[in-house]
Parts: sequence; structure tokens; C-alpha cells
Amino acid sequence: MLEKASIAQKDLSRSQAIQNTIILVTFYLGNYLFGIKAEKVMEINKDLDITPVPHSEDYILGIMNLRGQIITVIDLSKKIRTMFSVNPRLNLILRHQDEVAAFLIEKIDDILEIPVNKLEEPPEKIEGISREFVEKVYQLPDRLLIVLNVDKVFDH
Amino acid sequence: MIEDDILKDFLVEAKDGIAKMEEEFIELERDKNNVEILKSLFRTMHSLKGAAGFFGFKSLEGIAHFAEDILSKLRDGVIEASEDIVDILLKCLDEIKFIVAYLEESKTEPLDDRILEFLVNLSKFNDKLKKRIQEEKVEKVESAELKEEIAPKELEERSIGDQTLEEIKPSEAVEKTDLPVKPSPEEISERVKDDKPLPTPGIKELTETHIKVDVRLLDTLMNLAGELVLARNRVVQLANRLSDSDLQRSVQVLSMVTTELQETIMKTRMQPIGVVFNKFPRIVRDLAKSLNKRVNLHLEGTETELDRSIIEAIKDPLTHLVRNSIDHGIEAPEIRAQVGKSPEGNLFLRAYHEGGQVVIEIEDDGKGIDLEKIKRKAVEKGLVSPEEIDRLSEKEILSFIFKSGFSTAEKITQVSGRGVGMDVVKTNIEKLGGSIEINTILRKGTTVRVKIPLTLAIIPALIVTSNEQRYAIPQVNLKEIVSINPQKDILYLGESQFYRLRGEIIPILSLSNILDQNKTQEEHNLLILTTGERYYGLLVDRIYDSEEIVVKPLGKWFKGIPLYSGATIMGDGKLALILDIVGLSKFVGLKAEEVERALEEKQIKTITEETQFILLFDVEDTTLALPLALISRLDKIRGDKIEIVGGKEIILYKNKVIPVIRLENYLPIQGVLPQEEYSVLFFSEREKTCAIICSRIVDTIETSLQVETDLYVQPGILGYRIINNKTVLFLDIYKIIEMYDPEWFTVKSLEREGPTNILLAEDSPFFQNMISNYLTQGGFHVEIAPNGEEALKKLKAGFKPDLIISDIEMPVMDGFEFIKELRSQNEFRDIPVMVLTSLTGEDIRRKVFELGANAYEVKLERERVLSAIEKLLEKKLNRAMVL
Repeated sequence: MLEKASIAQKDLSRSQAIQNTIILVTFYLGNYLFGIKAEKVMEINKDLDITPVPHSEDYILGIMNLRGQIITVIDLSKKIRTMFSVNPRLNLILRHQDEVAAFLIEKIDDILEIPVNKLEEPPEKIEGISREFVEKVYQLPDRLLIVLNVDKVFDH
Repeated sequence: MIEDDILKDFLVEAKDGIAKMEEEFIELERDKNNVEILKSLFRTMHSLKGAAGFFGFKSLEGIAHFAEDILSKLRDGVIEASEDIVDILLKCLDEIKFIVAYLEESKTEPLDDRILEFLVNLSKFNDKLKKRIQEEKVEKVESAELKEEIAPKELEERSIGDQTLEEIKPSEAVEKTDLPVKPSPEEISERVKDDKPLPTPGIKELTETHIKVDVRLLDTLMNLAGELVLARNRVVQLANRLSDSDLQRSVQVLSMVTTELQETIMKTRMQPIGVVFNKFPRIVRDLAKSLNKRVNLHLEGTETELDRSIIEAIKDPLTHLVRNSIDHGIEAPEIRAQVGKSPEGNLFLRAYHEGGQVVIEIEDDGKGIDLEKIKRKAVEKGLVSPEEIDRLSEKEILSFIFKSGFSTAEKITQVSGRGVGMDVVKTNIEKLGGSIEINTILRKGTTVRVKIPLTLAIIPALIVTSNEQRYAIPQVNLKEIVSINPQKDILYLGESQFYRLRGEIIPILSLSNILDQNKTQEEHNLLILTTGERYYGLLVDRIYDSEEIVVKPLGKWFKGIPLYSGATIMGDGKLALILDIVGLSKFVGLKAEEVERALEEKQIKTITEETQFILLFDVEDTTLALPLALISRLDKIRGDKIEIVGGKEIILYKNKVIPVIRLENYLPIQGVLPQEEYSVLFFSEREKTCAIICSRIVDTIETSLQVETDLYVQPGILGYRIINNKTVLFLDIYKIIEMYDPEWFTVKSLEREGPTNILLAEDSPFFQNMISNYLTQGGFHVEIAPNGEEALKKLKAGFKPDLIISDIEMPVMDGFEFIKELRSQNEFRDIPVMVLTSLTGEDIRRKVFELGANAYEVKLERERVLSAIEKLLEKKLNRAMVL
């Protein structure tokens, strides 16, 4: 999966030159499919050795050791205030500006290349999710892909 | 266009040369005839001139040439290194520095009128110098023939000087800068060869053992070493599981090498503090000169090593402190002479290791800081009310200096500026995790002590656990570790917990409580921590080793939590949060609130020396008070537990028979009416414990022990005070217990011949009574004086005590002043002095011993005070016998 991400990053520059597209790493939380810009994804791993940090926000699970760097572990479903319960198994590790954080997700899915002009504004209301974290949506044949707003997700 | 690489090499070399020469010039001023230094200076200047010529930097070459010329004359002993000569040489160096800095930025020489002007001045100076030499020579030629031999050489030298003078006339120099005139390489090498005397072999070796390394490279190396340690630790664990002896042996080697590698890499980041210190001779010299002062700078411990990032960061604060010392501390030579000091002031810059930290001291023997002046200023600025100011301790008064916009210099000088500064100095040092303190003696001098960690990245820390999670506590904040029995040793006052550490009451917190965790086990380990301002105790589950930990920052999500200052990776790859001890105490500020609220209500400041935690309790309708420190335990017992044995009331408490004292039997108060449950105060001394029965515990407050003595005073009562509109009687527990059992305190004391006299200087009537009571019980005759001055009067009137006991904080003449007076007068010099205070602190202790006190004890520690007195008297007796 790690390779997938890095291939995606290589593809990124090539494809953008041809056509205005973005590459999204998609993953599941519950029955919802989310996408996050591939350039933000550092890696995905299974390490769940989390050290709790008392008195932090409820969506913060703690900190973990990523090869010598200490990163914050965030319960993504709590952060984006989903109304459904999830069973997180994987760390989606994102870098945004100077911060690195691991977001717990349930299942990794595909890496998709999507033309920018096909992205749509999110509807007024998305059942089960707080709208402020949704940047765009994209209609896949079988379901709606929710593109997360990385700024908001990293927001303190 | 000059090739960048070559230019870069030149600039690096030039900068090294400048730094070297700067040190050597200062050295030269101290030792004017040191030929070795002159030779070395000449060599450096000469290489600089040659290289500048090679690049066609004309002004640089010109300045270097003149400087070299003067240096050669100095070297050959033709002229003396007088002050004006050193001055002009230093100016040369400054200009060279300026040009080199400019070159580094824009790769060409600056076209600055100032530099041209300077060149003109230089040539004039050179002419003047020549004339001077000529005159001297005329005289000398007449007197001694020996000198004649040198003359031709001089002439030759001068002719070179003249020639170059022609060469770079100011106007020409400007034109020429655009045209790089390159002397042929042969010419250069020739010149270098010619003039460079053979370097001594030692120096040559030194240059070869050092190379320059990019700092970023070192940082990367250190991170990698950290990674390696973690990987090593995993391998060690795996190897242990496999129990293959060959594997284990090689893992052991791997382990050792890794550790050594890590330590060595850490060392590469260390630099001697001399890197900073060596800048000061020049700064001090220039500053002293501009202020018309004379200052001897003494550098000590320049080899003390610190992480390079810290070295960078302390440069500015230190410069500021040094400037302050010269500007405000050291007096002008005339004034120094008037007060009997040598006209030259002394400034010590000292660095040394102490407990995992580096201490830097800036000490001067100047006029010291006038506390009265600071007090006036503080009141003027409205920082404190006139009433409060007199209650402040010296330390607290000095702390005003660190308030922004606070300056006591009457004249605002350019040098130290407008008192913006000390606050900035303090913040900068605290940012490094360091601390700063000032000690001053009026007219004698000031010492500023800066403590900083060795490195920002690696700190020694104690690893503790709470709920199986590990936490690191920086060793800097840790005072001591006490193993306690939570059932017995914790004092509960309302919700708050306290612990009595050698008489001092300190609040304690539980780590598991703070972290909102369920208590899984009883916390037996109490860490005594300091925030720099106050002490508190922290209860933790378990204590592991002390380790060097690598501090790693936490993400932005944790910035709002004051509890942590970072995290670290432990040997097993797991993480531990690093506790921020100052933040922790702020976080739980709520706990101390109760005490503080009580204080606010009563408008009593906690800052005076004499504050104590006082326990208020009722015996029916009378409210009584006792210093909390005297009580060993508070508890409740049921009325039916009080038994009468042998005509005395006792209780069985923790399998011990403890006699019960009813205060109404000794004081004219109404007794405790029968209740189902009584509050009991336990008082212990040595192995003996007694219990005092009361109706209820009212409160604990922190307050000064000022009591009125005009009413109610009688055996057992020290005085009274109105607290919350109620009269509170302060109990003399020693007297009460003595009344209960006259034998209680009797110890087999040393047989003394005749009565032993003690002079007690103490301002508070409460302590006057209490201390003199327990001293009298101990068989001493006590004479009381309310302050140092009165005590001196008694001494002068002919009272001859065997021992003097003095408080520190007293009106009119305080303890410090009193001891100073005593020790300066022959007739009293040999009387032992014990300082008895409620103020505890290593700095105060040190100060009183420095002043000449013989012992230092805390007021409420009766037993310790008495045994210390015995010891002092014994010593005195022994000395008398020897004599």
C-alpha cells in the first residue's frame, strides 16, 4: 500500500501536465468512502502502539513513534464527528504544512485520479457527517466519494 | 569575476585570522613585550595582506599593509606597544572585519569614504610613528652604538612602507578597485615564503587535527544515532529470546559500539563556553574605555562544554549582563580609590558544571545594588504598595529588576540602555530552560548566577509511572525523593494534601489525580519538585532510573495543555511524555486556591518571611491557633475511646498509649463539652506523642505570626490576633506540655558550669516567646533584643552571651547586617552565632555562612535547634580548652 501511494505521487505530476486532475487516496470509515489528496499521504501502516496523552481533546488518541518522529494520532471519525461507530485498524499518516499526524481509518480502498472539473460542491446536508470537513464530493457509479478538507482535518 | 570557491576559502581563512588576531591583541595589551604574539600577529596580518592583494582587494590590502608595517616595528622592538598603537591596530582590525563582511555579502569591496579616510589617517599615523622612531633613534644613536645595527633594517622597512603609501593614495585606490591587479602567483608564493618564519611544529600539528564540518551534518548524524539505538534495543530483545550464545555475544558488541557512537556524536555538538567568553576581553576593554573605568576581566572555566545551540543563545544575555556590571556595578577609578578599593575593578566570568547544569557567574566587585533605591522605584512605579515593600525579602526586591521598564540607573547611559534588558535577559534564559538569580552586597559587589542546561535536546530525567504509563521528569526540577506511607504522612486540610518536609509544609499532588486516571495502587513515592519559585510534592506509582532522554516536540494539538514539555522515545521504542513541572503546578493552581483565597480575604501577603501555615481550632467557644508544622497528625476519635488509666486520660491510637491533654486544665477557657467525636491534634517529639483534645478544626491559613501581646498573655499563651473578626489565641504548646508533665522535655543534657547565656535577636513577639520558652526549658538564660541594633547595644553595654541567636528579617537592622557587624568587631568575633529563621533556601544558607554564622536552623524545629546549640557550645568549650 505504501508503494501505491508513492506511485500515485509520481503519477501526480505526469497526469497534471496532461489534464487537470487530482489523485485521491480513498478509504472507508463505516459505509462511507472518503478521499484525501494523495500528495498529503506519507504512508499507511498498521502500528497501533499509541501512548495516551491525558487531558487532550477527545478526538486525540495519543502519540506514536514513527521511526524516531513523534506524531499525533487522531481518531478521524471523532474528529469529523461521524454519527456512526467504526472499528479503526489502520493509520493513514498525513503531512500538512509542518505537522504530521496519523488518522485512524478502517479500510484502505483505491487510488483514484479524478478530473478537477468533475468535483462537485457538497450538498447542504450529508447524513452522519459534519459538513464543514467536506471539501468536495464526487459521484462514483455505486456511491458518493467524500473528499475531505485537509485544512479542517488538521485544524486544532 | 573571482571564482566563488576560492573566494569562499579566502573569507573563511580571513575570518579565522581576524578572530585569532583579536584575541592576540588583547593578550598583547596585557603583556606588551610578548614577541611570540607579535610574531604570530605579524604572520596572520601578512597572509591576509598577501591574499587580499591576490584578489585585488585594494583597501583591504592597504589596511593590512599598514598594520603589518606597524606590527613589524613592534616585533623588532623598534617601538613599544603603547595604547595609541594598539588602538589603531584594533581599528585596523575593525575595518578589516567590516570589509570582509561586506565581501562575503556582495563579493566586491565597499566603496566607502570612511575607509578612505581611515587609510589617510593610517598613513598620517604611520608618518608620526616614523618621526617618533627617528627622534628616539637620534637620542639612542648618541647614547648607544649597539642600536646602530638595527638602523639599516629599519630604513629598509620604512622604505617599503613609503612605497606602498605612494601606491594606494586614496583617489587611486577607488579607481583601482575596479581593475583587479593580480600579482603573479609566483610573486605571492615568494612573498609568503620569504616572510613566513618557520612555524613551530606544535602549531602545525594542531591545525591538522581539526576539520570544519557542517553543523547540519552533525544534527543528521545525531538523529541517525538515535535511530540506531532504538534498532539496537530491538535486536537485543530478540537475541535474548533466541538465547544463542554466539548471537548474544555479537549483539553485546553491537550494543557497546552503538552506545559509544551515540555518546561520541553528542560530543561533537558540544563546544567550550570559551567560544563566547573569548569575545568579552574586547567588549570589556572597549566599554571600560568609553566609560573611563578600569576593569580587569578574569575568565574561568572557559573549557566548560555546552551544546552549540545554547552557546549561540546565551551570547546576547551574557553580553548584556557584562555590560550592566561595568556600567552600573564597577565604579570609576576615583570613586573606587575613595572607598579603599583598588582603582581597577574586577569582573569575573566563570563557568562550571553543577548537577547536570552549567552555571555561569558574572561577578563584579563594584558598588552592589542599592535595595533601598529599588524599593523606592518599585513603589514609585506602583509595582507594590509602600506598606508591603518593607515586608519583602531581599530576593523579592531584587526580582523587580527583571520587571520590564525597570531601571535604577540615575543617568541613562548609552551602554546599558533604558532598563529594557534585564526582563529580556530573564525571558531568554528561561526560554533555554535556565534560571537567573542575583546576589548583591551593597558596596561590595554583585554576582549574577545563570544556570542553563547542558543541551536543549538531551536532558537528564527521572522516569516514573502512573497507571503503567511512563513519564519523564526533568532532573533540574527534582529536589529529592521521599518514600512515604500515605496513611500516615499526608496531612489533609479540606481537599488539599500537604506533607511536612523537615518542618516545612509543602502542598502535594497526585500524578494519577492530575492525569484523571483511576488510582490503581497507593502512591508511595513522593517527589519533591521545584518550579524555581516554590516547592511541591508529586505522588507517583513507581520510580525507575534516571536517564538521559532526547526531547522531542509534541504536535500542535497539545500546545494548549501546560502539563507536557514534549515526549521522548524510550529504549524499547515506546514513548513517554515529559512533564512540565512549572506547567503542572499552574494547571492544578486550583488546589492552592483555598489557601490563597483565605489569604486574600485577610489581606495578608504570603511573601513575608515569617509566614507559616497556622491551624485554627476551637475548644468550645475559644479559637486557638498553632503553627501546623508543630502538629504531627490530625485525626478524629470517638468519645468512648478515651480511657482513664492511672488517673490520667489516654487513648489507644495505632497500638500506642497516648496521653490526652485538655487545654482547659491549664488555660482559663471553657472545656470541651462531651461530644460523640473529638478532633485530636497529635504532638510528637522524639519518641513521645501526646494528644490535644478540641471541639473542632476550624481552618488552616497561611499567615504571618504577628501577634498582639497586650492582653491574654499568660503561661501557655503567646499572644492573640484578630482573624475573621474573632480573637484567636496563639498557643504555647511547649509550655502547656511542660505544665502537663514537667519531665516531658527533660533530656540528659550536658553538664554545664554555671548558667549559659543566650542573646536572642528576634522581632516577632510570637517567636520571642516561643523560642525563649523552649530555650529556658533547655536550661539556658535568654536575653531578648527586638532587632540587630538593639542586640548590638546589649552587647556593648556589657552583656556577654555564650551564644547569639539571630533572626534574619528584622526591622532597623536585619540579621545579615547584624552578623556582618558582629564579625567585623574584635570583641564579638568569637561568639558563636546561630541563624534561626523560618526562611529556608540554599542561597540564604550560603549567604549567612559566608557572612560568618556558625549554624543555621529553622525556628519550629525545637529539637534540632537545641542539639545545634549543644554542639556549638561544645565546640566553643573545646576551643577554649585548646587555647
